[in-house]
Amino acid sequence: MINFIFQYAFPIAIGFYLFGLVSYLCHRPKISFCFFLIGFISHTLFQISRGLSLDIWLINPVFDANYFLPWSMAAICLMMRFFSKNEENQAIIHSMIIPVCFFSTLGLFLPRGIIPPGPQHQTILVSVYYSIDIIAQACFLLGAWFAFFHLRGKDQDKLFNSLIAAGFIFYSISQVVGAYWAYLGWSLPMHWSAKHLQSASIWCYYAAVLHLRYFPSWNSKHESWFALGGATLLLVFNYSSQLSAFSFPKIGG
Amino acid sequence: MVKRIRDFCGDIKVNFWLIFAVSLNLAAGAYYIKFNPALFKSLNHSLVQDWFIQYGQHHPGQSWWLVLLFALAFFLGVNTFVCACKRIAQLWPQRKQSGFRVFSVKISPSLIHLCFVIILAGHFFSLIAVDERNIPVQLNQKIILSEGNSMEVISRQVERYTTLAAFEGAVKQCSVIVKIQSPQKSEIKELRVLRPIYWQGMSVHLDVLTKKDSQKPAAPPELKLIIKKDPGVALVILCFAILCLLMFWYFPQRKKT
Repeated sequence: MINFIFQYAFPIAIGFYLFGLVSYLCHRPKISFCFFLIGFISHTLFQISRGLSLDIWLINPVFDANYFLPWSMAAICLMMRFFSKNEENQAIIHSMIIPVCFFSTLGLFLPRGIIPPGPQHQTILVSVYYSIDIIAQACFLLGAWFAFFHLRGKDQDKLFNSLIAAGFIFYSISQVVGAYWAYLGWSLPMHWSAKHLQSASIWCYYAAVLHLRYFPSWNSKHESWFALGGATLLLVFNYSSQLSAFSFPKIGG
Repeated sequence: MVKRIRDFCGDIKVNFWLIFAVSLNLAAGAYYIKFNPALFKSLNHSLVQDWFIQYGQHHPGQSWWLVLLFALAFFLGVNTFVCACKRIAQLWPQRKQSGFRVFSVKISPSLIHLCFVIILAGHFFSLIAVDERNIPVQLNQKIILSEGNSMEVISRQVERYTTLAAFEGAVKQCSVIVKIQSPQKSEIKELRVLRPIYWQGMSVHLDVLTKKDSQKPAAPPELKLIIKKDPGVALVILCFAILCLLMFWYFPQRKKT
């Protein structure tokens, strides 16, 4: 049963997300939401099945970025649907199905197997680090999505700022946890490696974006452009490192 | 003149452009490290100035960003410190009128910035003053430490996956038993990957080389001891944790006030 879910729940989730996308494009938000919800449940089952697919519970595979990133985006989207009462914001929140579909579909083409956790991965810090880091990335990417709408004259509440601030807090927490894990495992809180410098670069970039509000001559449009730039930087860094992940030996495809 | 320099150093616009420049510089550094891993590998286990004399100066085309990073980080540290101090000096006289809660919300960003300055300083001390030795694990080898202390590896153990058929034979955990001897006493301790030993201001870490091939059952993993005195690491991790707590509290409060 677990194997069946592991193999098929993710493609099924994508199927429902895509049905939801088609309904959204046909201006059927309620039907779109139903498909989206079913897709999210299937996606959640897939995430859990990743932890159970080898007959014992392993938590690290649950937070693999390829699948946990679109899951986090979908979860944030559902939370925003639940809490937002503003009609105009609701319209943008409905459109969040587009990035969710995009990143989920991308996951189909990336390796789905599980890397055996080595000695340096035998700690809960690994899961805490990856989960918070990916939630932060989801906030940044959705912040860019809202920034795009702000540039088009929508999102007058500047929700993109709140998403970026939340993302920055999560990202900072993940950096502390990651630094502590790196110190315990390798004796260094920060390595001179591409991955660590990319993380530091993103952290500094968003720290700079949060300071933009103190420029009297710059307005929220400038902030929106910077939010879009941050998302581009994040995607370039993320997917350039994903390419090297193809070469790791994985179990289960 | 002094006021102009102080105003320039404490200008938030300068701060923004410095952070932005650091971000771009780190991105450039990531690029150079990705495509020259052999050149930068030793930087992780040596003092930055030693690395620069030995390797960096001979490869200016690949190491320029590191020099620029230090310069930018220095100016960013000074600018952030001046900005934070200026703001604290402005807010401090208002603390009674505004009340504790509003005052604490207003002063939080300055405290966050001061934490950031301490983190930068901690990183700097780690990079220029860390005392580190990397020693491959060999049984019964006596390692002489400072002040008449010594250490000896008396056994090593490699735990492999057995219950999971899919991972069978892959390395799960490694540990060594070490005997630490000081002029006064001797102690026997277990050292595992991810569980360093802290002893007389030093930390001893067990590192395992996890190459792609080392997960194969036949290959015994290579282990090494990392013995180090790092003056900055505690500052970095502690202040980063405080910075996160302050931000976690500040952002929701800012909306309310």
